[in-house]
Amino acid sequence: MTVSISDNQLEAQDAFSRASESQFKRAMRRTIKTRSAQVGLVLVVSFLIIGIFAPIVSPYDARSDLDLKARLQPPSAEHPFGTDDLGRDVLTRVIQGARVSLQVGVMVVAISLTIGTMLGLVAGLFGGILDSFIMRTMDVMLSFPYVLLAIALVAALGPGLRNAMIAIGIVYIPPYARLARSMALQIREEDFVLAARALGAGRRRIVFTHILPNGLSPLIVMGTLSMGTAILDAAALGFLGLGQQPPYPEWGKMLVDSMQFILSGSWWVMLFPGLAIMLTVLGFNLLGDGLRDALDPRLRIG
Amino acid sequence: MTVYILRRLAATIPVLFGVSLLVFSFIHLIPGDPALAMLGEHATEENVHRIRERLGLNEPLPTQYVRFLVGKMTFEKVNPKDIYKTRKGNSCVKLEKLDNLIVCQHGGSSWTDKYDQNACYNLASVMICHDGGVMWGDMGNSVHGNIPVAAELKRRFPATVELSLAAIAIAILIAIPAGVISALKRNSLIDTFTMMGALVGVSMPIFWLAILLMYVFGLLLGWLPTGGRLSVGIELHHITGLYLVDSLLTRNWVAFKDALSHLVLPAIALATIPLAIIARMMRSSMLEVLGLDYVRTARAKGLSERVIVVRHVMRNAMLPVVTIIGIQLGSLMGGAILTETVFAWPGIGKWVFDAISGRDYPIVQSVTLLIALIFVLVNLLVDISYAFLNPRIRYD
Repeated sequence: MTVSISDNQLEAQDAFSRASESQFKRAMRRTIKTRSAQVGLVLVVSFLIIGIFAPIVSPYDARSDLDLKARLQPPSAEHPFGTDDLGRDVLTRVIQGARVSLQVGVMVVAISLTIGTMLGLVAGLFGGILDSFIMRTMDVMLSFPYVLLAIALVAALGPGLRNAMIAIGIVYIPPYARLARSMALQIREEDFVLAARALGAGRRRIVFTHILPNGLSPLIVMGTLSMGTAILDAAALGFLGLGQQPPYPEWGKMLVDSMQFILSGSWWVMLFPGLAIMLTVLGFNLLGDGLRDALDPRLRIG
Repeated sequence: MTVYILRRLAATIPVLFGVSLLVFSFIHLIPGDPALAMLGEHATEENVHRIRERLGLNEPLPTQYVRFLVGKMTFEKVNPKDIYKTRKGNSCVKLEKLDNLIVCQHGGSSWTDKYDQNACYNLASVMICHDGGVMWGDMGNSVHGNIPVAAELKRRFPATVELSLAAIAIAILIAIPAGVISALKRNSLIDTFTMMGALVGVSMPIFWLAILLMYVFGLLLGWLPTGGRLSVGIELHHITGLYLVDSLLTRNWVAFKDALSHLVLPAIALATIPLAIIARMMRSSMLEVLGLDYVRTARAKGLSERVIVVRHVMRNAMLPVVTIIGIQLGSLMGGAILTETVFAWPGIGKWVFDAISGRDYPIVQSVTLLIALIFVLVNLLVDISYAFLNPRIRYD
């Protein structure tokens, strides 16, 4: 008898928790169900693990482990990805490069998402001259191809990882600002916001408890997708010598350095860093697409 | 429609000002003395001073911006009878004739019209001369070598245009059929395969693809050249600067084949991203239109599937795709920097890469400004063509 009561209780509890399960969790579950999102998640998680635990998983030390006697060795049991022109293990450098890319992805999204969302909300909520000024500035920034604006900014600020992250972060602001502004304009007219305002809720309360939570899905989707593009653009800056400076390994820089050695047939110095970039970015794109389909079907592109 | 176009044009003006302001301010983002940054640590004080003077860095900022935009302008009232048109189409006040050269004078200096340095124009009897100013197309001189930037830009620009046009052509030719087939055979193997390919395409660094292509087709197989625009020893008469067009115009088949073989790899590398994006857009746009009521009506009328797809679905599905193609054409110029660097393609992208390494900011500024202008212009044209193409939108 007692057993069945507790069973019933459990069941009821379970049903209750399922009903109150947030929309977000449900969307996450839906995301994980699709095959492509699963692949994306696996790629992203392995990238995160490799990036975070780089010093532990690397077989060699990335910077100081030169062995000039073992220059440009093809892949072998000792060096699965071969060695570069200074006899450094390419696998180790690819692993260490993941750390740089992880840093770039996180920093760029942090910069662009916070500043962009703030600007967009301010523009949408206050309107008037402030709105025009912010949005026209965004239009001007969007008049440049992303990569070009980032290149010009870093060229001025000076090469280096920090400046590259700042530049890409700045360049990525406009889409977030546009999104946040349209979010604010749309949601502030909704009945529940009007009701909240009628109840005397202040602007800050409306922004943080009503507008932001409701606009979270597109921001998450955009954040995930821009992680990937940020890594791609940072690699492009690295390739142009504007990103992380040697001897620290960075995927884009490794690629540009590899160009002089492929003439002699050393394909491994070029293949692996490129594959690393592609798989990481692909992971974020797959995951982002999956999230978008689950969280916000309206944004769906194919 | 006219009102819409005028309004759209008017909206472009503040954007152009903003763009010029942003490009102008790059040089002031440089930490420390820009002149010192450009010349390097071992520059002599005299050289730094000279560069500061030449770039006008000693002036107050607003003056510098106006100088950057319109240059140093002078106005002078002259006798219309003395005005003479130079070979460059500028106006000039004739001073005297030396052999077959006309000597011009203005503001105390004189020069022959072959090398007119102060470009002048006249509005009736008022002679307007300017020294510098991007508005007039004068981008100043490079820091290293003191080369006029505008002239060098003009020389290199066709190479980038040829590469970009070839890339966008490849992208459109492959992406549109791929997107259409994907949409018509939704969720089939061919659809999955195409969309996966498109996703890999946008996830790949194009400079890596460029190196891969160069390695496989240039080095391993030896089918195609690994860099440059034309092989050494091939003669080509330059007309447009687009080598394929020039060789066709002069019926120079040897040069045509050679130029084409040089163009293939960089164009493919540059085409990947727009290809992937256009294919995805075409597919989703087709799917959207295929689900509309009027398509069902067309089916109910008994129209053949071919007519429905080509006449009814594709035509309407193309609209958003046209916008995307425009945006991609603009973005290609950014991507060209990377592709040109890998393939040593002598366009503006390679030039900017070299200028960045040499910290030659006037070049970086000019190229950035030019590409942004093209980007704005292409977007303007796309918007206007959109208004023409879409019967549902009437803006006035």
